[in-house]
Amino acid sequence: MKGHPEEGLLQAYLDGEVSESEHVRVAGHLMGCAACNRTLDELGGLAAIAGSALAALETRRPDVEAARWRVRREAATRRRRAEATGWGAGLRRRVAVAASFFLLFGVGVAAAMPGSPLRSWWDAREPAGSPVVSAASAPEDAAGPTEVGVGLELRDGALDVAFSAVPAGVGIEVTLVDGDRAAVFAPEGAHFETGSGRIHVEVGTVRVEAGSVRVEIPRNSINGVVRVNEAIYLEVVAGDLSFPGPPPSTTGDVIRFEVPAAGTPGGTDG
Amino acid sequence: MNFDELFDDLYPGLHRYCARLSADADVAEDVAQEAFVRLLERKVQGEPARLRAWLFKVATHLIRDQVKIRENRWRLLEENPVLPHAHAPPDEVVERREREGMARRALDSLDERDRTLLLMREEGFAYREMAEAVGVQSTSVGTLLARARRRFGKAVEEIEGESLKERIHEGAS
Repeated sequence: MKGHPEEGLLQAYLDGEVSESEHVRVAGHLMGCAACNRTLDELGGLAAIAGSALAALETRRPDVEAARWRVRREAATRRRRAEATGWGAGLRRRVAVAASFFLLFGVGVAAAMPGSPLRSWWDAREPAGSPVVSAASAPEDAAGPTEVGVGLELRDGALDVAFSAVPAGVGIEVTLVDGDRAAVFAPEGAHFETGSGRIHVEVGTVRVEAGSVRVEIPRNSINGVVRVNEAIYLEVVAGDLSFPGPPPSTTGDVIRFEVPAAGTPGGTDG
Repeated sequence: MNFDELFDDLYPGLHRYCARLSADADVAEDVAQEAFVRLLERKVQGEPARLRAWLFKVATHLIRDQVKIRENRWRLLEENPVLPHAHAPPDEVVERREREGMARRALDSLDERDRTLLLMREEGFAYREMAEAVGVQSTSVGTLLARARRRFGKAVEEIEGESLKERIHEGAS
C-alpha cells in the first residue's frame, strides 16, 4: 500500500466493511505504521463513546401488538378509501350517471308522445299537494364503516371515558397499554368530545361492528373510569382496577364488555 | 416470514431508531407505524433484511419531513421525557435524564445526515444500506461516519464539560 490509508478506509476496516483484498492491504500497512494504529485506536474510541452516549437515549418500550393492530387497520382503511375513489369506482359512477340520464331521457320522450300509456298516467296523476319525498337510507359501504379515534396524553394519570347512546349487544374492548396515552376508537360517524383527561363519545345510530368500539388505557393510570350509557363499567381507583358494571371477559391485557339490553343490570335503561 | 412475524421482529428497532432520531415519542410511534402501513400499501416484497432497510429509509425520510415542520424538538423532549422505567428511584431518574439530555443535545448539534448515519450504524446497518438512506456513495460512508463520530464525541465532551462547570458553580454558590 502506497502512503497511508484514508481515514474513511480505516473506519470501514474497523467496521468490517472492506473487501477481503482491502482488508489484507490495510492490515499489512497497520503492521508497520504507528500513526495509522493511533488513528485506528482513536476511531475505535469514538465509536465506543458514540455507542455509550446513544445508549443513554432510552426509549419507552412500544406496545408491539397494539401498533400492529393499528397498522393493519390503517392499511385496510386506506385500501377501502382507494377502492371507493379509484378509477374503477369512478368509471362505475360515470356509467351509472350516463345510464340514469338515458333512462330519464327515454321516459321523457315516451311521456311526451300523445297516446302513450306514460302520457295517460302523467295526465291522470293527482295534482294537489306537495310531492312526497321518502327518506332514502344512505347506501351502505359494502366494506364496512371506517373507524375514527382520539388520543389523549394523560398528565396526571386521571382519565374519564364516557360512551353514550351505545346500543345493546355492542362489544366494548378495553386494552391496557404502556405509555401515558389513552385512546378511544369508534365507528366513523360517532361524535367525539375531549377535555382535560376526558373523552366523551356519542355512538348514536352509527353502525357498530364487533370490536369497533375500543379504549386504550395506560397501564399506570392512577384514577380512571369508563362509563357506558352512564353505567360504570371499569374503574381505576389509586391504581386498582375494578368492574362495577357487567362482568367482562379478559384475555391478557384486553378486557371485553358487552352492553346488555335495557332492564338488565348495567343495561340501557334510558 | 409473514407480516405479523416481520412486524414483531422489526417494529421495536424501528421505533427505537425513530425515537432517537426525532426526540419525540409520539412522532416515533406515528412514523414507525406509517412506514409499515406503506409497506403493506405498496406490497413491498423481499427478504427481511431488505424490507428492514426499506422501512428505515422510509422512516428516515418521514422524520426529515416532520422535523422540517416541527422545529420544537427540544421543547417537546422536555415536556414529554421518554422514560423507560416508571418507578425508578428519583436519583436514578435524575441521573438518567441528565445523561439522556446530554446525549440528545450532542446528537442535535449534528446535521441530519450525521445523525442518520450514527443511528443507523448503531442499529447495525451495512454501509451500503446507510448510503442508500442518506443518498451518498457507499464508498463515502466510512469517511462520513468517522467525521460524524468525531463531531459527536466532541459535542459530548463539550456538553459534559459545561455540565461539570455548572455543578462546580452551583456547589460554590
